[in-house]
Amino acid sequence: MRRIDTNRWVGIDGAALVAGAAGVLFQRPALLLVAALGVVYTAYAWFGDAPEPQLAVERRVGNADPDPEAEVDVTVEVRNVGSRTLTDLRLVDGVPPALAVTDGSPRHGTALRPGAGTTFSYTVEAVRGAHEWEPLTAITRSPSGSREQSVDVEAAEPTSLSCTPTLEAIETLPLRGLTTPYAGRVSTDVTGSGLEFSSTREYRRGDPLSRIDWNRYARTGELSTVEFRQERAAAVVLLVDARETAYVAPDREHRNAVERSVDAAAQAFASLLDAGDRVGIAALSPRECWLAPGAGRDHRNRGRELLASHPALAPTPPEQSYLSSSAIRRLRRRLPADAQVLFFSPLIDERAVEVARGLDARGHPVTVVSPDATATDTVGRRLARLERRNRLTRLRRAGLRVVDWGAEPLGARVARAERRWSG
Amino acid sequence: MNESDVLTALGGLGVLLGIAGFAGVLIPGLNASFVFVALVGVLAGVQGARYLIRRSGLDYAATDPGDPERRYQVPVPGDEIRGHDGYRSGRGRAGRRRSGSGRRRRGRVPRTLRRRIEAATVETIRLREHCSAAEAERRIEAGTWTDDPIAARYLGADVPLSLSTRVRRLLARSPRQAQAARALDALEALRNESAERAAIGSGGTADRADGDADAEADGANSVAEGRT
Repeated sequence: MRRIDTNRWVGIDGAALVAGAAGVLFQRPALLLVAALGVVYTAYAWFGDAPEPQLAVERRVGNADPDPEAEVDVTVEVRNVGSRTLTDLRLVDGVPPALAVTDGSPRHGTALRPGAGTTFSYTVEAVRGAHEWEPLTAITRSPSGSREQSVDVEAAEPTSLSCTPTLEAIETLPLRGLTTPYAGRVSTDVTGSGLEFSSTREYRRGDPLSRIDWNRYARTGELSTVEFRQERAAAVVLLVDARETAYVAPDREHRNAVERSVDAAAQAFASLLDAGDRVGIAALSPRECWLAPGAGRDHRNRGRELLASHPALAPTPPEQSYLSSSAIRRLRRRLPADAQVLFFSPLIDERAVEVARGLDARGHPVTVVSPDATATDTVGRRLARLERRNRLTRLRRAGLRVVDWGAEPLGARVARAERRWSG
Repeated sequence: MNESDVLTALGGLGVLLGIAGFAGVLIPGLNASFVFVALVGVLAGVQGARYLIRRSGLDYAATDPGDPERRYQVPVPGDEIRGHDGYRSGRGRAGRRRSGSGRRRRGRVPRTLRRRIEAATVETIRLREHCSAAEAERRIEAGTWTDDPIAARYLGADVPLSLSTRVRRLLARSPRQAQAARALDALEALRNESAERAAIGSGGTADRADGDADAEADGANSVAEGRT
């Protein structure tokens, strides 16, 4: 509970004294009457305190499990369960910080007798994540408005909303060469059975008939065996930069870089699982987040749930600071030896570059997908944009693959990058 | 009101009565009660004026419940850079000036806008010319990295300025900010030039819009990458 003096009537006593003094000195009774009025107002401000609100709050959410961008109605019912009349009551609901109100207002002003109640409603737009409502703030004032008291009131039942997007794969997602021993779609330099022609060699006893080069046998009478590049599955860890510093956006209307990174990771997760790769998820965040590489329907569901509602990947930044060294060491220990990394980061500071290069240097080929969150309308913003572009160049020079992701859809951007990489 | 306040008030009242009595006795034609009332009026006026002056320094106070209608706002990169002198970089990262050797410690963010522009310029020259940081710093000191004398001077080069440029600088509303903008213009031009050069080298066209003109590095990357 917080009490404050609003200073609304401060100075009325001074005005009364000045008017009274002028009335006495100039012997004007009218001024003395004005002074008397000032005294009355001063007394009005002095007497009467802001009552302490005792309220029962009930909050109802129209759809607690909506799709992204769905409109969700929220109704709040407030009842005065105290014994005093609240002559000036202002209510402000604790909308989750990641949600925007699109219709109505989460604020309400009213007066409530003991036992009386009021209802107000508003609409929010759902975004990915698990969202908890914060307590409603109730503010009461004394009749004169000179004193104010505010309390946070929890609803009878905790209110939450969970928005889990469906996993939508992008068409292609090129991977780097490191693979697992399992069959998959990443073409390797290991020869054997596969789809892409590699070479021919002399026939050895036991070679399958389907791989004998019969045309050559017809021409030369010699038996030879066709070799293909073996296609193997990759183990990929999707690493999302969710440090406090990564929560940036080019303006107020755009989603922040972590939200875009998680969306991109969700697309990559679906795409890679569809292609037969083993996929895991991790976050650079003070909140622990790890899903070991795996495959299958259960793994897909676990990944979808984690990407939607894990606190480390929330649309709002963590409160505690990032313990980088220990978290990175833990991540390195967990990464399977044959895992490559898809690193989603706005590359807003040098730490992200160090992480990417460190993982790459330790034998985990890194591909960086970097949502561009920079702007150009002030000197500082232009400088931040230049610094980021220098980081992109440094990473490319260090041999990492980098997708600089602007406003266009990720699939189109990746396709363009793939043409460059295979060119 | 404590005991001393009551005594002070009684003392003040006694003084007023005394002054009024003496005035009534010493000055013929003056009524002692009128003098007393006038003195009370004067004192009330002075006290009232004090209260009004105190009011002028007070703001109206109210509980701030924030903006629950709006989504959580995140900063725009670069907004933590506030000025030329003495700002600390955002989010609690302690700034660090150059060490005695003239080298910037790795991973530290310079404190001022000028120093950050200088660091970005060193980096851009280094990446463009494939030279060392010391060589890049030497070019900045000599002012040979740009054709713009204002940008060069902003980063410490001793290059001459024309008379008209000097006059414009004197008349500018915020000359330091204008110089910083000129330095950034020069730096962006340098980067775009590098991008075009890289794109031509790799047989493509410069793609300034998405800052992706380092295609040759990616191409080389995919060729050099080993397969297991």
